[in-house]
Amino acid sequence: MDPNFSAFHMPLAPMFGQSSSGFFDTSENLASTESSTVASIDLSALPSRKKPRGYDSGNSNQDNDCAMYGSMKNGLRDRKRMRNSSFSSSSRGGDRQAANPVGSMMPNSVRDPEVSSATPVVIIDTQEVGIHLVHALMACAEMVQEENYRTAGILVKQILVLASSQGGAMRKVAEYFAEALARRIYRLHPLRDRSLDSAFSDALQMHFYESCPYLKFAHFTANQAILEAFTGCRRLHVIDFSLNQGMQWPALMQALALRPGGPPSFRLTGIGPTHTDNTDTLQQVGYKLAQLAENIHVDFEFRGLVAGSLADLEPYILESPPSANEESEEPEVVAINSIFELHRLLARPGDLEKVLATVRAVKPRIFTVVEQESNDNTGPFIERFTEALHYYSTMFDSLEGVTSEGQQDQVMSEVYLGQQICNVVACEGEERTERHETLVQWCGRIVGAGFELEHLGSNAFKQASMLLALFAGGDGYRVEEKEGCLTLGWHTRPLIATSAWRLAG
Amino acid sequence: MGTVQGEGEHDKARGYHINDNADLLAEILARLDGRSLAAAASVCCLWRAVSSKESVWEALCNRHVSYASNGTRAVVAALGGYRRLYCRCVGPIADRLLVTGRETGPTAAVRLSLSMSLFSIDCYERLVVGGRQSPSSLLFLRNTVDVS
Repeated sequence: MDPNFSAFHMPLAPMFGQSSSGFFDTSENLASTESSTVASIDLSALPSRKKPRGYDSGNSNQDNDCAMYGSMKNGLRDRKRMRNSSFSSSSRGGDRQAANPVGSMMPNSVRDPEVSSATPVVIIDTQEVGIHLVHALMACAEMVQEENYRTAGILVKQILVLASSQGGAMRKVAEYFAEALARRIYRLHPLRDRSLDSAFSDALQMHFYESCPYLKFAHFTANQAILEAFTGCRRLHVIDFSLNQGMQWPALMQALALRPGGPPSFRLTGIGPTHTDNTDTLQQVGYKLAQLAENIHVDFEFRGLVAGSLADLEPYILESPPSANEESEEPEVVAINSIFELHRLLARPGDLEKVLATVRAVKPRIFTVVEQESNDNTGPFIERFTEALHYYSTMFDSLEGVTSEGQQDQVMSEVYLGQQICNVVACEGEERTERHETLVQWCGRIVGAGFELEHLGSNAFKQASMLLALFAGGDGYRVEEKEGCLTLGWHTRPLIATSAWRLAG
Repeated sequence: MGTVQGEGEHDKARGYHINDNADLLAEILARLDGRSLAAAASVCCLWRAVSSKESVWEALCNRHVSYASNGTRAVVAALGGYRRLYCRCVGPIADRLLVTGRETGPTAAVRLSLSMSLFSIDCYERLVVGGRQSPSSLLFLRNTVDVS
């Protein structure tokens, strides 16, 4: 396993709440980590903590703001003699405060003349620094929760310095989280004007689509559920809660074209956000889909709806106009598809309930839902932060290992995820739209709105497994079936979950 | 002239030449694997013409999974043809999944639907792209896999 990645699994449990000498009882902790095997973070060991009262008397650093590093430094001094002197030399120029913690972390390099006159040997134990990085991130989040913004600000600078010595996924995750924390601390609001960035967001999502299998998994599993629900029906209507570039629908149309007995007629209603620029992406996407449908001889009709929020939709808008129904005896069968859209509704109370009621009123044959498998909609900030840190570091880890051809895709995918990180950490209230909940929680909500679970068949599982086998690094991805729902994860951590629903009763 | 005639006589003396019958050549080329078939296109004009025939590539695709039903043929043709299907989807998938022989049963059906789905996505991306960016939803199939 990548040593950088394993740092997030170091047990944090032993270090909290026990000693009164300082923030981190790092000497003990470091000793334990030497022999510890990979274990998951013990989240229960992160209570809200008191501010550190004092620190070890051995700390020569008198600056109160560097209290955090007092015992860290002591722990280090006990065990390390030769340390990377490049740390102190890389301390930021005019920023004395930032330099101080760094200097105190590596005491021997600066203050100890014997070492500095010796042949400089660069030993960077990235795993150790990785642990400190995680500690610093958690400490900063703690300070933010306690509204001790001054200390938090210092910690952010410390995080960035530590992160610069790391590589790969860990550095990037730490940098995104540090930026998000900085935005929260220094109240850099508003983060960005979402409506202006719609084209950029679309482009980012395309890169995310191309570089990793999460969206493809979502599309393929949802399509399989829709196809199975639509067997034997001759008039189909699919409502897509977020059309984006419409990448889900060519595969469905092709499968309909190959259906024995010929393709049914297919109607698609695509919903998109409002745009301030004049481009009508919905219509362009609809046109492209219509072209493809014409090529493969599928009877296709498209309608685009622009909605600021899904809660603005009313059932009568989504239903087909009555004139269409009179033309044939065959009733229209409806499917509703929601990929990463429901969680945004949690930002405003009542929105989700309204949308689920609207879905129910349209009477769909099947309602497919794909959501992130994470629990960062909790009350206390530190819990949300920890969960998001775990989730996004797993995500970033799965993006690593891409060849030079896919580099740009990878970078843009990271920006795409970085936007989500920023939202989770730095925003509150209605602005925080990235509110993720676990599959179990979603099941509870959807069942409560009057739906029952439709099990995803084995075909969906097999297709998803084969799809993942095609991705380089495919052995890291895991498809799992969980009570009729499918989850896709990286190693042991599920990251997204697909479920299908029908009306209860 | 004399040289050509001399060669013709020499061939007749040998018997059959592979370029004499295009249909037979197609039958032979249809038994090659994907890379060899693509290389065959650079041998001479006749080979180029024959190896671009859809039926040859269809036979190659069918070697892995049956794409032979009438409906499939029409859809594949509409989406870009068997040659593109093989080069963009079936070939890379077979390489990646290390498939050697023909598959039957439910695995075959899954492979068929997966490759057709990916092909349709690729075709969709090529529509109205307008040269802004090259379609790359199938890039992941071309990325080299670290087999160490």
